[in-house]
Amino acid sequence: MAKKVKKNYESNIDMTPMIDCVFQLMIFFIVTIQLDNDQISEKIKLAQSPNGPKIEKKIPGTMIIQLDKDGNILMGKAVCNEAALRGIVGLAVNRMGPSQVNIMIRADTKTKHYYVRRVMDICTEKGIYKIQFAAMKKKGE
Amino acid sequence: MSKSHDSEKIDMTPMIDIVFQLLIFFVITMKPLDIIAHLDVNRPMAISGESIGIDQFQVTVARDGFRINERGVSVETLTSILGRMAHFGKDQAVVVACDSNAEHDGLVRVLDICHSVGLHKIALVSR
Repeated sequence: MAKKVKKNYESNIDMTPMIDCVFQLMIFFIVTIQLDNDQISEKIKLAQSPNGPKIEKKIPGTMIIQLDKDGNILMGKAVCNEAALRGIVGLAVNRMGPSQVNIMIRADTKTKHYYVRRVMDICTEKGIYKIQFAAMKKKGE
Repeated sequence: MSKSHDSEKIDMTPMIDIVFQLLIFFVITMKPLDIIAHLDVNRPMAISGESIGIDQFQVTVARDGFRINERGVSVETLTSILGRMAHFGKDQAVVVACDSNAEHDGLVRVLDICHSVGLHKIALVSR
């Protein structure tokens, strides 16, 4: 009767797929963090609107105009004056047409309506009559 | 001289340690995304300064509160009136007039109430 030979298998786990997954997760987090901070100023506290429709996806041609509590106009993270805003909105309207430009105003909860009105007037001047206001539906915990 | 098999293996432990630490760092520092709502309004195409007819249903946002057709109302009353209005038809237009010295929070509040009762045709005028 032949004697059974017990082979000494090495119990090493292949770590390569796990490392691949971990790297992909890391890349995902890094990329998403970068994208979200691009156009939004963290100084602006949005007013609460729990019943407003949530933004499902970015509409092409959306221009986000931000207003801080002192009425300063911010495009991205840069402060700009009314003349510059008029130029930017005018450029977008000339390129895409007024119906294709979607204006979203992100104003601080304490911003006086006087400043919001000034921005809206610039948009109306350029032929844009539909305006969106951004508000906080649910804050990320 | 025999070649040892163990010398061919790379020790992955330090790399895995580092990768896990980086992952934990990103997970902890990551801020969950806020859910943002969009409140749509229409600006009347009238020339600036032209008055809006008084026969239209008008909600005024003042610095000290809200008014319906120039009569002061609480948030609850405003919600109830707009709710009753929506009951007759969701296509009815609401004119929201906002005072220049009113804070943006008040305007958002009125727009939020309009959306909560289902009124979506909102015209915004500034005073």
